[in-house]
Amino acid sequence: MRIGRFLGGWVLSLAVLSVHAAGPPPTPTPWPALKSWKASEVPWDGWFKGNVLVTEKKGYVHFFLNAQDLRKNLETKDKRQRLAETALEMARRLYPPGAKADRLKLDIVYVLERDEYGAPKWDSLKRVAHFEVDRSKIPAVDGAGKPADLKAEGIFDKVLIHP
Amino acid sequence: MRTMGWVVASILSLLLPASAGALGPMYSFRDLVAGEGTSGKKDGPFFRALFHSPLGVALDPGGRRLFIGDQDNHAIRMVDLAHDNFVSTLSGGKGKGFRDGPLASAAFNRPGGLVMLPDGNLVVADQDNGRLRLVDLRQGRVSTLAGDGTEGSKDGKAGNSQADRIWGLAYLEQEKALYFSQPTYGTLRKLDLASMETSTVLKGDVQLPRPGALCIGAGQLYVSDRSNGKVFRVLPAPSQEGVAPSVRLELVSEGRKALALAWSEDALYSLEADPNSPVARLSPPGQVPFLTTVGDVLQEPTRMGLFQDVLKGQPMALVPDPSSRKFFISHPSLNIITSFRDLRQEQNSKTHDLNSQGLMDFEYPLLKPPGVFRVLVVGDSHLYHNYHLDKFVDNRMSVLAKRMELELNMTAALEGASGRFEVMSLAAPSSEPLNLWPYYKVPAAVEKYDIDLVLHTQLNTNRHPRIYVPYFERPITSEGIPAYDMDPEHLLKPWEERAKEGLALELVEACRKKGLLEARPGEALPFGDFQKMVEDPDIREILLRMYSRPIQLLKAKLGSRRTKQGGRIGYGICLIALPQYDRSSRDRVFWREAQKGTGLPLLDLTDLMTVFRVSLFPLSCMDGEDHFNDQGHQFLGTAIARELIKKQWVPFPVGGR
Repeated sequence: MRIGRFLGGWVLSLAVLSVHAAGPPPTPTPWPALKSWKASEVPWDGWFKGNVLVTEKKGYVHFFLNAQDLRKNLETKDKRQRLAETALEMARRLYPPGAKADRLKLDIVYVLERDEYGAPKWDSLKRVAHFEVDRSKIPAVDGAGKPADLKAEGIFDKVLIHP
Repeated sequence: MRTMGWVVASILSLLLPASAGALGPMYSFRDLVAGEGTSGKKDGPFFRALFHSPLGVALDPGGRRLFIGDQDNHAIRMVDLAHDNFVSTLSGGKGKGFRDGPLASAAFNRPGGLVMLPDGNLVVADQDNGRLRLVDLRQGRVSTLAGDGTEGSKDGKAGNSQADRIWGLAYLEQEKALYFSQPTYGTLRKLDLASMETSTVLKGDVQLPRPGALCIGAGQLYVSDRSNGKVFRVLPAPSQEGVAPSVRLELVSEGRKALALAWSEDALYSLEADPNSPVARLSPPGQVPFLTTVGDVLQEPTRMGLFQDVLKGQPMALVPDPSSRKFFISHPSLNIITSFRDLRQEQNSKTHDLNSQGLMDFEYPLLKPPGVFRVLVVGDSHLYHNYHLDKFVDNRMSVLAKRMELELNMTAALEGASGRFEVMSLAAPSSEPLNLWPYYKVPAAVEKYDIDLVLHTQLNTNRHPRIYVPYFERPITSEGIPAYDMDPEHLLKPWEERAKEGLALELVEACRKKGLLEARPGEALPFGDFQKMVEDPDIREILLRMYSRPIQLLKAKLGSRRTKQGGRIGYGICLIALPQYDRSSRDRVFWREAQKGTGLPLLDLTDLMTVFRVSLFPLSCMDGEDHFNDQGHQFLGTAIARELIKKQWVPFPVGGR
């Protein structure tokens, strides 16, 4: 297994020593609820920063998002759509440079608690959603680099939303 | 607060055995090398030796002897660094004069700058004789290299040239040439040691009107100017047909009042006429703060008296010993020689940052200096957090490892022991299991820094992650312990799937049998009250094995390795049981059992903490989540150092030098 990419300071492998060693980090602030949901206007990079781990596995790339800080934006009536669009954007933006696998597996979870260093307490993990797709089937973004607002869920060939 | 720290040290010092040997040199960040301080001429122990305006300093290629140009004693003195810095007179010292011949009868007249040649011979700028002298240490003879004793800057065959008022001396191996500066005459000159001809390299140069300090770095000559504060690299100029080879100057730094230059490893240093900041790193640029033992930047040196020399605008020596990132400085008006180490102490306030090699510490040189015993203290945030009244104290000098280092070296000096100690720390917050991550991180650190002893510090803290958690959160390796890297997909599996073998399965089955398994199928782990688990003897036994297994594996790994000198690498545990962490009277028993289960030598501070818990209260700051305050770090650093000596975990041959 090779750690493909870290975003921010998750308590994983070497990041523990190199990131959390630098004094107690500020407590993560939950993102406020958006007034309206439009995929092209969601602050994706901010949402993903410090919350995503991408790992290259044999035959696929795995994306793991702790969406606890985004929770207000996902626990809505249109939860399925929002989760699918979030997974889609994660795949679009965070596919590791140099990775070869076309198959993508994406998990969205809530890690309900953090310790005093801001590190997630993994035994408080709650699974939220799982998606799978071939990267080659993901539509490109528009000319301005913004994601198209479309029915994202249909793009995935495997979708599992946990109750 | 800091005063209290010293009170603690004083209390502990009363417990030290009576001094059995002579006083030895201290090994710290800034030390006395030799000189009692008053002017005079006396050989003997370094702290009683007398000098009179010592100026030039040169280190022999083996780093064992330091030579001093003792100007007003008209002598070349020698400091034996391998034997307690014992000071002797190498040559001269019987009044001023000019005489070549055997060391015992040779005479000098205010010998100043020195430079060591690669063959181990010494060149002396014999100032008031207006000559460059050669001290052949193998033949035991002094001869004259250049200069006719008159004033000026005339070139020519060595004996017919002039070589007085020399400020800087440097030897460039590629040219087999001795460069020297004469600011009074505005000249930078060189003596070709093959042809024994002197020639002028620059004279009255617009950029370099008064060449002063010189040094060689990476095969290139560096020179400072006395009048315009610039420092240049001297490079060969493109050769032109029919024109004598010349040089060009490349500006390295400006605005400096460099009294001396030195090159060490990959950096250029300058000794400057700024008593508040006497040493600067010119390239790459940076300050070299002189820290006190409590981590303050040393200020007001005119009052402190350590750097009053730099204000006199006279030459001084700055000589590197790259093997230990050490520099020697001459203090002509204080009549002493001192040393300091540049371990990038400007990072002192960044107590939580890692150094370039992943340690939470200063930049110690990777190559262990001769005679140094290195200790690596491994632990959690208690090693690097220092709280005072709920605020961080950002001061690396005031944390446990540095307190230990100071105590070990101070005791060695007081006891006349030959030990020199460097104590480094490798730490991670308690979100990383302290029994586990060292298995993955310590071997590399031990290898890099050639560590002699790894000291694992374990607190009885109830904040420590539950021992079993990593066995469920991470994939299990073929050695039966959790992997270092988390695997998110592993985490996503139901806990039942993550507990199919090994210690995780044993624990689940034992808990099920004892009714301590809480049926929470799904994401969360199925265990309830950790304290109840600990109190059950069967479950406790499994937990203890979970705790000790990675440590035992690390022990085996370290046991198969040797230091670069072929010595064994020590590995022991220091149990620091703080009473305030005990949730029940059995906590201490548990932690003692856990340490014993590792099979490692145990340094148990439990009783000591019991004795001192009231007298030295508070050692930790409740608002700082029970992390130590200054006094706690001071106390523990001192106590651990003493215990290491007492238990002979560190070499401490007393009076044996």
